[in-house]
Amino acid sequence: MHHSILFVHAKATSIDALVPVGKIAASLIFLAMIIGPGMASAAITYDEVSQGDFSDNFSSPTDLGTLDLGSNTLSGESTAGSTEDLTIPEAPDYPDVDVDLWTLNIAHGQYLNQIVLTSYSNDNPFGHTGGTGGIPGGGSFFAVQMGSEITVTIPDGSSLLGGTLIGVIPGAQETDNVLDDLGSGMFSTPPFNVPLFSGP
Amino acid sequence: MDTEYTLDFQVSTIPEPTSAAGLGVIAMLISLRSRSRTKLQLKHTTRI
Repeated sequence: MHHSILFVHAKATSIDALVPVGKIAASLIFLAMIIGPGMASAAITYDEVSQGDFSDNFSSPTDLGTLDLGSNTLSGESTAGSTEDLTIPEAPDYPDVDVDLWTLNIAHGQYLNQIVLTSYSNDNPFGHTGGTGGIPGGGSFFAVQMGSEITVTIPDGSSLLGGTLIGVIPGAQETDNVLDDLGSGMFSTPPFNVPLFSGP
Repeated sequence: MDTEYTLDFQVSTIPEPTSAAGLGVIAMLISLRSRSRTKLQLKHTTRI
C-alpha cells in the first residue's frame, strides 16, 4: 500500500475555500511521500542548493528513497510567484511558481514520528496581501496525499490526507514538530486523519 | 526564491508488543512463588 504526502512549496495564496477563517497568504509546498516497502538505506540528506531543484512535476515528484532511522533532513527553496490566488486551477503551473514535490519511503517495522521544521525563512517579494481578512506571508502550504503522484487540485482538498501552513503560525514554526499540524483540519474536511506513516 | 526551509523527518522503530509467551512465563513464576510461600506457612504452622 502506498501513501503519498505532497508538499508543494509555491507562494502565497488565497485559499479561503480550504481555510475556515479568512484568507491566508502562504507559500505552498507539496511533498509526496510513499509509505511502502523500502530497502534499508543511509540517512537521507538532501539540499536543493547542491543537489538540484526538487521536482515541480506533479506526476513525477523527486524520489528521495527510503528514510533511515533517526534524522533525515531536506532543505529547499521555493517561491509562490506573483500570482496570489492559487485557487486558480492553473496557478501551480505558472512559470514563476516554484513548487517542491518529492516522495519518500518508510521501511518495514519503522514509522515516521516527527517532522521538525528545523529552519525557516521567507519574505514577500510580490507584496501578497493574503486577500480580505488574510494573513500576508502566512507561511508555506504543506500537504500530504496518498499515492505516487500528486493529483490534488487547489482548492479542492478532498484528495489530501491533510495539509497545513508551516513557518509562521504558532505551533508550526522553527523547531516545532509539524506532523501533528497536518491533522488540524485546516485544509481537509473532515479533519485530516493522521495515518501511522509506518512501513508495511 | 522567497522561502528557505529545512525539514527533519525523524523515523523510529515500531515497538515490539510484549509477547504472550513472555507474559505466560511471568504469570507462572508468580504462581510458583505464591505456592511456595503457602507451603512454608503450612510447615511453620505444623511445627507450632
